[in-house]
Amino acid sequence: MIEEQVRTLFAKVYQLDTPAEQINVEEPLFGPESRYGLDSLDTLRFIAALQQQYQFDVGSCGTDTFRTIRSIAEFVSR
Amino acid sequence: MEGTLVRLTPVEDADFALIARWLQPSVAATMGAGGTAEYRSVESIRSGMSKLPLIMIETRDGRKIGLVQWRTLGHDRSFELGAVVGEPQLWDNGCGAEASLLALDYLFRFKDAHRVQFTTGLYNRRVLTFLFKTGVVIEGILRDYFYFDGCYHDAVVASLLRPEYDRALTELDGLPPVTEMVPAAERELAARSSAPACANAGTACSPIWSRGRDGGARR
Repeated sequence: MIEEQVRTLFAKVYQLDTPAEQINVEEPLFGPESRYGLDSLDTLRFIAALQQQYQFDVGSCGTDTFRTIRSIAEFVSR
Repeated sequence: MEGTLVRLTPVEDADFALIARWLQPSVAATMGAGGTAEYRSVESIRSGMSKLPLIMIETRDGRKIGLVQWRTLGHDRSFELGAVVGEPQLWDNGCGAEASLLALDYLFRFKDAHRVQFTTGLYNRRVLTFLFKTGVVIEGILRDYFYFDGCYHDAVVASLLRPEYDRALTELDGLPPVTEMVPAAERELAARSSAPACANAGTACSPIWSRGRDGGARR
């Protein structure tokens, strides 16, 4: 459920041509391995959008928290 | 200066060993410090602090992950800015970008910068993308500027002037807001308190601290 929401938000924030359901929940979202060409600044933008939706304290996140849809969903559902 | 992911903090004694490790020849130093990697002792870094301030990048949970540095260049409102995130596995997670934005904010909003310059290798896609996306203006190519891995590398020199920084603030949608040093509630209270006095004096009241990202006038 949360994974679906995060995936939809990801597609919306970056206005992706790729439909949300085609985003693999374990694929890298940012950096050279990302097929979306997103970088560190984009990570920051997505975190701001996630914070607006889920109201979490980013202080408790790990360095890999925002790598994939799955890791993000696990973090925000805590 | 504090952001969503990281804060900028002063260097402490225990940090110098970390800094020496980050600045030695390594992928992190070459990509982050623009090819200026070299073996330096803790003492030489410590003594160089008076000429080249170093500021630590610390995550919200207190982990030191890198540094930013700047120096004046040409005149006292002109700076060159650089940043290193020490561990490659920490790249692309927003920390480096946010630290660079915080340092830019500090230079423009606290040091009254007019110009901030960046010099980075032409091979450095991460930094170049950051520069393009933040509205930094590419000024030119410095040919064979760096030497490592047994060959010369071109560098890109780029800069942001005050009006371009102001414009970038309005165009960088969706990023976390800059932390204000004077809390918004304090500013509102002070503005309300000073309004009658200003009205009596017959002059418009526009406290300097009401200017900024939240829509006030800028210089």
